[in-house]
Formats: sequence, structure tokens, C-alpha cells
Amino acid sequence: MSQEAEIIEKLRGELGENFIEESRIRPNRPVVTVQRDVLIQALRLLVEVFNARLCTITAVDDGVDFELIYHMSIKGLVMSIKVFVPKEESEVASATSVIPGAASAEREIWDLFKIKFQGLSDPRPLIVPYEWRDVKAPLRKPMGGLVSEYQKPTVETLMQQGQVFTMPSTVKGHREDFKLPEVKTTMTRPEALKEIHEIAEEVGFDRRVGYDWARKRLRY
Amino acid sequence: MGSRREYAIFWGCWVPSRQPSVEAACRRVLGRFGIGVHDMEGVSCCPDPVVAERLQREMWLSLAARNLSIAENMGVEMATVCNGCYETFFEAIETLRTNERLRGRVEKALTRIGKTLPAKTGLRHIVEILSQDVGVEEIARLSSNRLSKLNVAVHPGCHLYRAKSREGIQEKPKMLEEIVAATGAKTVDYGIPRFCCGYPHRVVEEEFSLKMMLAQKLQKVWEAGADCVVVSCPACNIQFEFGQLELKRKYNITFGEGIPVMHIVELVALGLGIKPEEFGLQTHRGPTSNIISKLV
Repeated sequence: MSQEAEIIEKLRGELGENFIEESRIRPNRPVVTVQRDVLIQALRLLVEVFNARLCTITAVDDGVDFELIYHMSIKGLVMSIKVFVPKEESEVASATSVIPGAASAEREIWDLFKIKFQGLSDPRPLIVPYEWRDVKAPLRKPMGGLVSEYQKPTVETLMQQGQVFTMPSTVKGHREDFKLPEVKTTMTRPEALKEIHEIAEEVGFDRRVGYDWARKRLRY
Repeated sequence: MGSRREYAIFWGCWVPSRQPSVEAACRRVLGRFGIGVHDMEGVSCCPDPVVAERLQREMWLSLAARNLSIAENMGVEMATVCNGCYETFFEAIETLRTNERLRGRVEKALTRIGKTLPAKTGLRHIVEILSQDVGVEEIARLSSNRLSKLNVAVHPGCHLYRAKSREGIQEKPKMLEEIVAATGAKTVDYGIPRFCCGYPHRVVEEEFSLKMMLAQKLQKVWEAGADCVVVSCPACNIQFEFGQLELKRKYNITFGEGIPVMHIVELVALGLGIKPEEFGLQTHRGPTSNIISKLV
């Protein structure tokens, strides 16, 4: 078993269902996406079991979530651990409990994106002017996703009932008048709608468009 | 008439919830010609080829594949009455056939819900069914001359030009024109049948969609003296009907009392002698009096 396969296997085993997926930027350049709650557990495993070293942390603002990508060097292999941080919370555990040297990268990300690292002992501004502290985050975008205002009802209705239009009572009446049969779509079949939701989760559509399952609407 | 056929019919989102007259007319017309129609259990939006495909191709393709899979399990070909749904399924079948990476992603999503990749689902547009299964001669034979005073502007809609080869792009639009002629209605030449109604442009710029697309098309239709527009797509139908209401309200642009719009199955229904009130022609949001007054 290659070193890469061994590390991924170990992560998968340790993290269980919190291991979201593995992907490749290119061959021999793996990225493992994990739940935010187990970030420190994943980093600790890499450091303590495989002697990993943190190269740097990349932050990406995709509009509704931040991606934090921890690039780890392990005996010639560079592997990245990725977590998503909801913009509404903008908070994640500091890696400094495992990797003290992560402080400078985390301070830079705080400066530029205002992502709070819980447990970071020294959150002083690092690269932005001191007077910008708590005021400006130059690389942080306003909350907003892929879906334009005009498309929002279409996307929300698709997620709520699997179809893009609701059934008005007048049309219901017309359907009865013309003796049309019951509509047998996801609109009236909860078990079929559940399948649509499972597909949305499986392919990551909910994350991509920023859908809030609890509120049954987009997050912006 | 061709041999008896059976179809799993995909009504889409527009027709059941906005245009029940199209569903009612279609059921009556296909029933009259002995074509079996089976509703599909638990289908979703196709989904919309313009919005959903742009947002995430995997989601769009997985939902389309799930719908195709339902048809495949029914053991018959899938039929649509909507150009947009046709476009989605046409594209999805081709993508699943040729794109290994996406096919793998979709297969994984379908496996999670206990379904399998569709392998051989056939797809037909209602225009193809009327033209090829029923035949224009049969439509003409059964149509009375009650539409002989009706002047029709045919709007095929962009997605009806979808074909496997360049030579085939005019096939379905031509079928549509032939079906209109078979009903006994007169087709008017308004010069720009290929021009888009503007429906997809609403996503980015409503004013452009209404004034630069829809109004331009309606002006030509109006000048050509058409009594109505006949479409093969519910989305085009909505754009023509609601669009005229919006053109009047927002920009004071009108075409007489409004140009009526019908789906091809409604025109065929009228040609067969089915009364407008039997399938609900009056439930259209636009005026239909121009049509009814021209019935012989």
C-alpha cells in the first residue's frame, strides 16, 4: 500500500462518517474533505502518526461558505485537508493546539477574511493596518451565492417539492373540472421527494447553492 | 395510422400546474388516435435546462437520469409535451452515453436511492408522435373543416430544433407545420419563426426579454394577420401569454386585444371537433375569443 493510500485509509477509519470525500488536484496531490468538527482530530493524526508538517493554510470565500485548506507535507507527499466554514458562523478551531506554527497563517486569514480561530492565543493583526482591526476584511465578500434573485423561487421550489412551480387552487379546480387524474409527481409523493433530497446531498447541490435544510430556503 | 403505441408521459412542471388545458387536450387527442398514455409515478422537474444545468451539472443530470430511469422501468418510451423537457432528456441521454466521469457520479447518486442508470430509454416529443405515430394524413382525415378560417403563426421554439445531426434540425419544426396544415388551419408566413420568444432571457434581463425579443416577434405575427400563435412548448406559451400582459402593464405595448396562444395538441383537439370547453381552452391567461370566433 502506498504512503498516500495508507494515510487516507487511516483518516477514513479514524473519522468515520466525518470523512466527507477524497479528491485529487492532480495525481499524487490528494485533498481530503472532512467535517469542520473533526478538523483538529484529522490534523493531529497527520502530525502525530505521520510526522506531517503544515506548509500553509488557504482560505477561499465562495460566497456562502469559506473553504479552509490545510496543506500538509508528509515525507515528500503534499496532502490537503479541507473544511467548510459557514459564513454565518465564520468560526473554526485553531490548529495551534496541534501545530503552534499555524498561528501566523491563522492571523493572516483573520485579517483578510474575519474567520475566527477559536483558541488562537495571539489574534493581533498581522498584515493589515492596525486601524483596520475589526473594521475591514479586504478579501471577505458579501454573503451571496450562485443563485440570482430571479432564480431563487425556482431553486427553492425545486428543493421544497421537486418541481419548480406550486399548484394554485384555481388550477386544482380546473383539473377537477376536466377530470384530470391526480398529479403523481414529487409534489404529492413524499418518498419520491426524499430521493431528490438524497441526490442533492450526494452531489453537493445543497452546498453549492447554499440551501438551508432547516429553514427550507436559500441562506441568502 | 401507425401501430398502437404506449408511452410513459412526462408532463413536466408547467403543464399540470399552469396549463391543464394542454394536458386535457393531449389526453383526449392521443386517446382518439388509440395511443396509450401512462403517467409516471414520483417524477420530479426534468429539470429546467437553462437554470438548473447552469447551477450544477451533476444535480441536473442526476435528476434527469432518475426520471429516465422511471420511464425505463415502465418498459415504454418517454414522451414529452415540452421543448424544454425534451432538450433536458435529449442532452442527458447523450451525456450519460459519452461522459464517463459524469456517468459515474450519476450512477453513485442513483445507487444511493436504489435506482439504476437508464440504459436505453427512448424519447419522443409530442410533435414526433403526432407526425410519425399518428401521421398527418390521419389527422387530416379525421379533422373537420372547422379551422379553415383560422390563421396560425407557428412558433416551433428553440429546443424543437434539437437534432442528432445538422441535417435533422428542421425535421421537427417541419413536422409541426405539417400538423398545423393537417388540422385545416392556415399557416401565415411572418418571417421569423426561428426567432426565440425570449423566455430564457428573463433569467438575466426581463426588459430585454419582453421588449427586444417577445415584442419583436409579436409585431411580425400581428403584421402577418395571424389570429393566434401555435407553440409546442409550455414555456413559450407562458412567455407569449404572460409576456403580453406584462408588455401592456409595464411598457404600454399592445397587439389589439392580445394575440391568443395555443399548444399544438389544443389545435389538433379543435380540428378533431373536440369542443374548446371540453379541454378548457378558456382557462388560458390570454384571450381565446379570436380562436373561438373563427371556428366554423
